[in-house]
Amino acid sequence: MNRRGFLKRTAAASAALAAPAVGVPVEAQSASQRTAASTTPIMSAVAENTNPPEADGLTADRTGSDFMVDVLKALGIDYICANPGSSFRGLHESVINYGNNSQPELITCCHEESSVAMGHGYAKVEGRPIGVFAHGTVGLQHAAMAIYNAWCDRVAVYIMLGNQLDATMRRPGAEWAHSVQDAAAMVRDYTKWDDTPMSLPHFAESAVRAYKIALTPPMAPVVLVVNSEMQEHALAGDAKIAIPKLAVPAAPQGDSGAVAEVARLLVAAEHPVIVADRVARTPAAMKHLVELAETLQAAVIDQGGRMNFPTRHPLNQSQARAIADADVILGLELSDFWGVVNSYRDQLNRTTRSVTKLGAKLISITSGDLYVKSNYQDFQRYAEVDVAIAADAEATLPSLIEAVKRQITGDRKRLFESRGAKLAEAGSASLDRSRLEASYAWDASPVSTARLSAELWAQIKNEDWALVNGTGGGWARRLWNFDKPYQWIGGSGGAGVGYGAPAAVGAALAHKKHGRLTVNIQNDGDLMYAPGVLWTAAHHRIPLLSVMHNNRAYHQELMHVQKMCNRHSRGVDRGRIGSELVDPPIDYAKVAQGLGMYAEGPITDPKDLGPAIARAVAVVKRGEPALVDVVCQPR
Amino acid sequence: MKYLSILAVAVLLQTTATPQGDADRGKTLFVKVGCYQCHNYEGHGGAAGARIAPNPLPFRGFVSYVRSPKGDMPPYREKVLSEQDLADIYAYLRSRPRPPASVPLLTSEAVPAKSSASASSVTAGEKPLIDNERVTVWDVTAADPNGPRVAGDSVWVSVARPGEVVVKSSGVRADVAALGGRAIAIDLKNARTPPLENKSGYPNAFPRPGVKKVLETERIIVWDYSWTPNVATPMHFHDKDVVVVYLADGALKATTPDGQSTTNEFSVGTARFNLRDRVHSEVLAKGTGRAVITELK
Repeated sequence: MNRRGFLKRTAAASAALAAPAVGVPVEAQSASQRTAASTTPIMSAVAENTNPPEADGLTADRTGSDFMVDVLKALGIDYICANPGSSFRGLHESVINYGNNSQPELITCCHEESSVAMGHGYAKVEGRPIGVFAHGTVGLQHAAMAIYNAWCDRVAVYIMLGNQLDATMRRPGAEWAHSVQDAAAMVRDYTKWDDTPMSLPHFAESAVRAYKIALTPPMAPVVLVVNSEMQEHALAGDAKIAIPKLAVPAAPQGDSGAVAEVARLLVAAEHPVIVADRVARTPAAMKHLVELAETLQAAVIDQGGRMNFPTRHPLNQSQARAIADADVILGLELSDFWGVVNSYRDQLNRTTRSVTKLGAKLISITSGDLYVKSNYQDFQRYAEVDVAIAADAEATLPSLIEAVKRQITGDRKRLFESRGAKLAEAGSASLDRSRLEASYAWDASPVSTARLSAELWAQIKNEDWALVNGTGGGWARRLWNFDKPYQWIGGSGGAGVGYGAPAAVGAALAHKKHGRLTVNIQNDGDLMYAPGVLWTAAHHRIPLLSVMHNNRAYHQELMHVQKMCNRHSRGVDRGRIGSELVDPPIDYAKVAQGLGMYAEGPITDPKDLGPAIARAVAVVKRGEPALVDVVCQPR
Repeated sequence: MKYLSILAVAVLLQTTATPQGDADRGKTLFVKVGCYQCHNYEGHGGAAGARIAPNPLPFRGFVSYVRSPKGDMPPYREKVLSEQDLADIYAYLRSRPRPPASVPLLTSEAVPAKSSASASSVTAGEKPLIDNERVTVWDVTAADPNGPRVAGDSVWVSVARPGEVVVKSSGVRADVAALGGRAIAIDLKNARTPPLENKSGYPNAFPRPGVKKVLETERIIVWDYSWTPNVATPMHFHDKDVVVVYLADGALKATTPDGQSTTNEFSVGTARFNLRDRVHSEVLAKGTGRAVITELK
């Protein structure tokens, strides 16, 4: 049954206008009949100057988009982030009226990149997606970079694109420019699945399927292209369309034989090291990883893709150089295993070298091995591992822990205890060193990133806090005590700048219902991509503390250009051209104030920072966003 | 021959001496040629570059590294940065201030949130934490210039800088600021009790696996020990009285050979006096565990 064939039982007047002769094959119709059918004069001059045959033909009590909202409610989608667009006006109206703007609630965004990045941040806190509406053309083009970030970061974002497929139904002008044959094609290389449903039952099935696929590790964004006409078409009041049952698959565990072999290697190792990147999908992961590490008394390096391991756990060796001594390295959900075991020198002649001990055994457990695409190269360089388990690391940890416990003998246990004591001492010394290093340039202006992190920590440490973006040059992870699974969500994934501010707002939206103090260390260059998201935070009363690491530059790129200047030795004092954000310096406090947010700054004297953050915390604790602009050292 | 010797000395001086540099000019150059980008404006380093101030490499090594760096640092040829430029930058780096002796914000976690006000305002004349026939123990901060009045030899255990301990004699106070701003002072009294003979059948409490001996005098032995989560210490015998200063937040469960257990909570800066003649093992019941233990001979 084609789309029009299905809809004919749901609509009255317009279907009567459009329908070809029933029971007559298209081939058998006369040319005039075909013309009449294919140029149905819904928006023609004739139609506009002629009274409709029935007044009911102009309105409908129920539309296809109402049913779509039923599906979104059934999926438990709490919010829709959207910049308004006519190609999904039906859905928009159904959300706010038919759905009573509650579960899902529409969140007004000022840019589609913000919509997707908000979904990205939200999903990492809540473990499930929210929805994004966007035009299939111009909206998706805006959204594309944020979708790529979510793809690289293995995060589920549920995207619905409006598109008018039937050329004869399009309004002249903009709607043509906003229509596309294959809307999802542009992002197909970095989404996990997409579909263009041709009927409401098809929509229901694909909507549930998309949700299921998005949440199956490795998680990723999915796209549904939702035909505008299908959204707006009248639906008979008694129409019953089933919504398929959702069962999100249990995450795949590693093969039991391979897990036993990994346990054998780990128990026999003298210096095992566990490296974790995007391990934690749920709050249980941190507990499992702690148990594995403590059972083995093994060093853990948390790369920070998620909140994997407490920063002050005695076995946390993230600041140490444990890889060089390791004889067994267990990589859990690593985005770049090769990069863990090799160093790379970025000079005129690019060189690499292994940093592992000869004969070190490498073990990989990652769901990344289960799904790879070829065009975009985020899969990183091929790593030569000894054991590769294509499975979800978090789901595999319990069986690995049991396998390890079964293989530990008394002798090994005594050795583990001795190893653990040494690691605890090294971990403690590492924290002492971090604190000492942080004290250099303590009173400097611009403010050091270490001081920014320490001042911020002093104001939040007695709150129920969560850091959702930025690390202040890494100092937050070195100085703060992260010990709860929700206190960190990792970075952008694809290193696409512009993620930070909207992802922080999305994450704050998720933390809001838990009453947590959400903290964002906001880079200036990142904020300038789409600062309108600050208005979204203010408008929707999303409490978020943003403290700016404002180094007045796209500083990462500035360093790259400097490298080229030095390489060519034809001027090393012009590297800042094109990368700095000065002359005039941007007043982010005024930007934020103009967008309706409490803000202070720019702060240049470190002594002013603590009191300013304290005032901003008070604002956030009463349920509003606040921003403190701090002019900082570059790194 | 003499000429050659003079030449050799001259060459040696040329290769080892640090040339005069203009720190003000060096500051300008440090920014102009992009050093600040990775090392920050104060040369204090960060995520992208090492700390190079206020104590950079010896000058010749510094020049050599800048011309031909080992890692990712972009090389600076003579053509774009002269030897004199480098001397000026070097002078700037050496002019940078050393960090403050005490940064309370970096050690403030050493002060329990609840008791921070009272702990930081201990003054001479206020009550000590412990006062018995063997020791008087005080919680001291740098903000307390006058107290406490230690009478005899004393052990000062830094709370702000875990692992740092100093010993002072005959009523002399330690510089608490140099210890990071907060310390537990153990004033040793004259009462001496020799160690008990160990007839328990278990080893003495110290040394034990993983412990670090910090110092020993004729009156005390100071140990630095971290408890490993889920790993019980061996059953052991305390042959000496001890003062324990905890440097973390947590709880220890102590179990005697007959299986009786007690759990004691502690937080950073908690000080306890434990009598000798005890046999038990310990395991961390909560949090993290680190302490400096002073055995009284």
